[in-house]
Amino acid sequence: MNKEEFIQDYIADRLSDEDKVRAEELLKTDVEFQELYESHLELTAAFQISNDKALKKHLQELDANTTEATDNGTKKSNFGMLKRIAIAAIFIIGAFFAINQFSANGDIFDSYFEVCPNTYLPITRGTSSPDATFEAFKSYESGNYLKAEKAFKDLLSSDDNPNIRFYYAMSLLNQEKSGLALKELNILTPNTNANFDYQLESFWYVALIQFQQDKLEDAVKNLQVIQRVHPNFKAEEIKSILEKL
Amino acid sequence: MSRNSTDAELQDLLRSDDKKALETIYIAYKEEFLNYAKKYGLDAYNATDIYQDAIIAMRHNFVNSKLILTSSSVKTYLFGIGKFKILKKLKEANTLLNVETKEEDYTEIRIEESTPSERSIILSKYLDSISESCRKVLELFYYRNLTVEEIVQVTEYKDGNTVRSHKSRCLKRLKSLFKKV
Repeated sequence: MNKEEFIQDYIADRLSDEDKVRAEELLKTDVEFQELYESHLELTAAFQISNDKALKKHLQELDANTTEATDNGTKKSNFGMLKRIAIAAIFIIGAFFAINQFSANGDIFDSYFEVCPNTYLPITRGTSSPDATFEAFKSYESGNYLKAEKAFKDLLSSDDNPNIRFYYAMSLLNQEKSGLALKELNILTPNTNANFDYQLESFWYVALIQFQQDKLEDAVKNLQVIQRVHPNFKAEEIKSILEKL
Repeated sequence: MSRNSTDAELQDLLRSDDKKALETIYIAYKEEFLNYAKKYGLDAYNATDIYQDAIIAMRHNFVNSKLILTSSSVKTYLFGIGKFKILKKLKEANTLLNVETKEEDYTEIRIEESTPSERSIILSKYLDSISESCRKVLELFYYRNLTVEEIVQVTEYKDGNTVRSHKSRCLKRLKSLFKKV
């Protein structure tokens, strides 16, 4: 266990008596441990300030909305009824289409595809970004996939980073350029380098594209690879797909 | 808070930072609290302000300290914090009068109110400048004190190592912003 996790356990009172004594000793003697402890407390306090402020604002807005709703009286309640009927209608129509789409085989891709969130690089919002990598991920996070595609391609021309290639493939896929995305993902699936964080995701998206292209056998093989390598990854989704085939 | 929820289930929801449950509690007990605060001579504006602060303090204790109430209900706990805040406000304004309470009263629950450090205040501002995914992983680890394994369970991360590497990158980014000040 690393020091940060040990400190977290100490703060959350999850340590045994023996380990607690060890933590208290380290707080007196180990400078790095003390700094990490202080840093943990500072971050907790920072989140408390930020969360408290956000909740206060939310409760004030809630009160303002409740007052407004009460003032609007009957008109509002009629609107509420219409709104409920409209939501119910949308839900029923949506469910009808969803059921038909899947049962017609179809479209496993449409049923299971979700845009892969950026979990690689933290993005600063509202400030100018210092380098091209940040710009690329900023475009990706804002949904400008064409811009992201170009930015990731530029980055790959100078550095063949598999994590960047994965998000390049995702930028293509999010624009429905499935063929081009598949080509990139096929480069990534054999990559077992420890610095590559998205091998399982690559297999998953390859399989989804193969379903879309009616290459059922290949798609199933790729899902089985995931089940073998990491049984918990997308376990429910994979189980559900394989059962329905 | 559904009619079928027991207090224990409600506490579970609060510990897991369920926003809807908190909102429902806020609405459910607001009028009663405002009436309770009237006995202390507080107007609706000040009473609402205190009620909101009591909700915020309660949420923090459930989410951050994993509070478990064994001898009182969520409502009693909330009103206990509210009473503490009412009395504090009146003492500060030197307007505390003897209040006779005929009905059942609430036990005052003292809330630790420490002044945050300058560094924490600055850091809190930068939390709004990092990506949602970064904020989330840091919040789960440093505020909610979830273990790495628990974070894997409540998020889309595939394993603990991915959580660790993302958390580390996010923390580095947050600190780099801080250093620019």
